[in-house]
Amino acid sequence: MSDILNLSGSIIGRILLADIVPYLTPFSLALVITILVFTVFLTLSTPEFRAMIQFKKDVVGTSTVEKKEARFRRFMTILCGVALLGVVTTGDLFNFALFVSLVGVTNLGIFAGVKDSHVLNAAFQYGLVIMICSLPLFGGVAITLARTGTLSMGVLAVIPADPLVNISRALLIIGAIGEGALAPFFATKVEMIRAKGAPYINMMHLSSLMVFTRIIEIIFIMG
Amino acid sequence: MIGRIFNSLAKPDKVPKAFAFAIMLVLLVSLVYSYQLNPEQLYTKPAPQVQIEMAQENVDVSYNLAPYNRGGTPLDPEDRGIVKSQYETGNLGWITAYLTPFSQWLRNISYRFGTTILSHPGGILDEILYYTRGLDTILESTILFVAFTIASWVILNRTEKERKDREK
Repeated sequence: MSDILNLSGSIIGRILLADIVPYLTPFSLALVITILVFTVFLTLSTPEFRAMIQFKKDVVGTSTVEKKEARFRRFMTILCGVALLGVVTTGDLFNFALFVSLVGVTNLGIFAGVKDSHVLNAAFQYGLVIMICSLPLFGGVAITLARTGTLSMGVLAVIPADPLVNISRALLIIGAIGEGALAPFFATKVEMIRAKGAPYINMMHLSSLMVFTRIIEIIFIMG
Repeated sequence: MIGRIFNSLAKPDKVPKAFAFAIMLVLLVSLVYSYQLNPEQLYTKPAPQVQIEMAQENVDVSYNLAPYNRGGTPLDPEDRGIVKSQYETGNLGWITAYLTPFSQWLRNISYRFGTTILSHPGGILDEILYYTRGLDTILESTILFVAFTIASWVILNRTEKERKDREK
């Protein structure tokens, strides 16, 4: 428990419902407020109008996403916001892995509505990464459970570090990098961001940021 | 050389391969360590196939659940059996194995109930392994349903486009 206190301050509130143990600290409260404000903002905003100019022709105009497509992507954005709330508040390692993979799938969903084939191709590659990184993510959680006998972050913070737990930390961080499309693997992301429909795409950046913040916190808690 | 590697990472179709390679490196490092389970979390299992001998002697019908029975009586907080709660609070571990009437009937007639993954709603593996972890089952199926939604959306768009192309 001391690690949690050192990292993010005293625990403000906690929901005690069997394995559903989300807890709020001043740090995670700030993240929750950011996610809520951002999700509401994205839900209420309308898709962008992108200027379209074809050279050597008399074509100047705007293009935007269809209403049906925008509705689907808005739904996925809201779902991604809900999954992110779970990521930053959960106090259980396995639930964290599940929430992170839900974030990955909904991120993919935001781009699946696009009709450009090069965007869909890049999204397909990102989907492959998401599928691959369920192995390190859940493998890391399983090694932690087998070694320490607990998944609760409050208990894990007290248990001293151990080489096997370090392996599962490495696996967790590589899994989170894949799901959140973080640093070295964002070539797919750049290709996907060329799609139309700006406000919803920002959810992907927010989820990358939140998953990164949370995985660093968890790495410190487990150590 | 380094420049060529970084340039090849910029192509989306190289990314999953690079990612799988990175995971392979970490897993290779992890092979060095020796793996032991935490002894506090292990519970005594009946020996495999013991239920057949026990049942022939009419000892105890709960042995039909082997290797998954942990002793105790279902729904009785006084007689919990061997279940270790991961959290101090809450009602975890009160129910060792809640069986639906169908599962009870199946346990009474079959020796091999514990060794079978039953596909009826609330199969025994679900009931025993998942009872103590409730949210996980909901989250897992949520991920599955979101994936189905995305896949059906993509297929729907494609068939609509094909239909429009044919009408042209």
